[in-house]
Amino acid sequence: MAGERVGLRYAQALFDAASNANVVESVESDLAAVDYHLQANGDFRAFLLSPNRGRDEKLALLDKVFGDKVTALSLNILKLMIEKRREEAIPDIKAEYSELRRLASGTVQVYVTSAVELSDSEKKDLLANLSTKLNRKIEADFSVDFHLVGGLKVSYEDFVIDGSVRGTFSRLRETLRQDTLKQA
Amino acid sequence: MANENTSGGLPPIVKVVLGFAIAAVGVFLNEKIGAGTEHVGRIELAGVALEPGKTVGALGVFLALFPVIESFFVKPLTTALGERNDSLESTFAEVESLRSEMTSMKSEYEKRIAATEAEAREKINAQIKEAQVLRQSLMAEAADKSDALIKQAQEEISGEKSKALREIQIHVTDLALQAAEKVVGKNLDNDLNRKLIADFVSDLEVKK
Repeated sequence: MAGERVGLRYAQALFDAASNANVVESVESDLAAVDYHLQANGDFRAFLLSPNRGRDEKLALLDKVFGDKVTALSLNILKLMIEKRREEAIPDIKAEYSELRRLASGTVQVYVTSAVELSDSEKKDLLANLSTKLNRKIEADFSVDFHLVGGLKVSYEDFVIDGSVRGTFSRLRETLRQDTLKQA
Repeated sequence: MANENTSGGLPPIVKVVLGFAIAAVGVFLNEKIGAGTEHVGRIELAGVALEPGKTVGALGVFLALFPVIESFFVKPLTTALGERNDSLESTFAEVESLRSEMTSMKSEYEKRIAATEAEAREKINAQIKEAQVLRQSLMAEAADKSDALIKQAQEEISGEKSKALREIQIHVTDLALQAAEKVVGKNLDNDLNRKLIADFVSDLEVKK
């Protein structure tokens, strides 16, 4: 939680600067690349987040890895976090930045989970319908979970719309359980 | 003490004078009458030796000596008898007083014993009554506790029974739904799944 709050402050500062420089999208791409490296490369993550490594070593590593690949704004914010000993918040900054960007643009992040892979037309129809019903732009993250048996499940913000067979049975199970308990 | 004048109302000196006078008369009679008179002769003939002069003289001497005898013998004896009598009376009075006191004490002791016995009996009765009340109270309390425990046990048994039944019902429901889910999963082909997705998209209701 503390890391998230720190990440939010840095993300807010970065987003404000990127908005002023009109490089919001580019900075988000930079952060996505950094996040990818952190997720994919365990040695890189361990080195960057290790408390036993010096700031100069970490700054040198950042310059070496991202010096010519990300915008100066993105690199500067990462260096600033390392200089302030806030590198543990780097993994959170991407999600916070994206959330700020979506808030600013009126976009909602939607997570769609289906029992089978959705076709392009199904995805398109679903997003169009959601955008119309929510009256907002949609960013979707699709995934497949065969445990759903059939159908799909859509979640956004604090809401879940469960149209899966597993969800239907779960609701039915819960209803029957509550009815049984009420009979006592 | 009461016999101070038992010898009569005459003073002793008068008695002495009178005694000597009578003794003198006796001597005179002895000299004058002697044994030659007719009456004396008859008496002597009857077998009784009688000398009137000596007899009268002896009476006079006795009368003259009587105050002495009274003074040296009768009076001390009377005094001793009186003292003895007083002592006996005092002793009897003391004994009577002691007996009365003893009787009184005995009566008092008997009263005290009776009172003590009554008090002890009363206390015993009170203790018995208190014990009976306590016994009844304890029995009632024990009965109440027993009833409460039985009621609680019955309620717990009933509750556990209901709980077990509910758990069984829920478990059976879960099993039935798992079975139904498996059956639906096996029978859900791609076309049906696509239809489910299409229905979901078309009937989508969002929450804001």
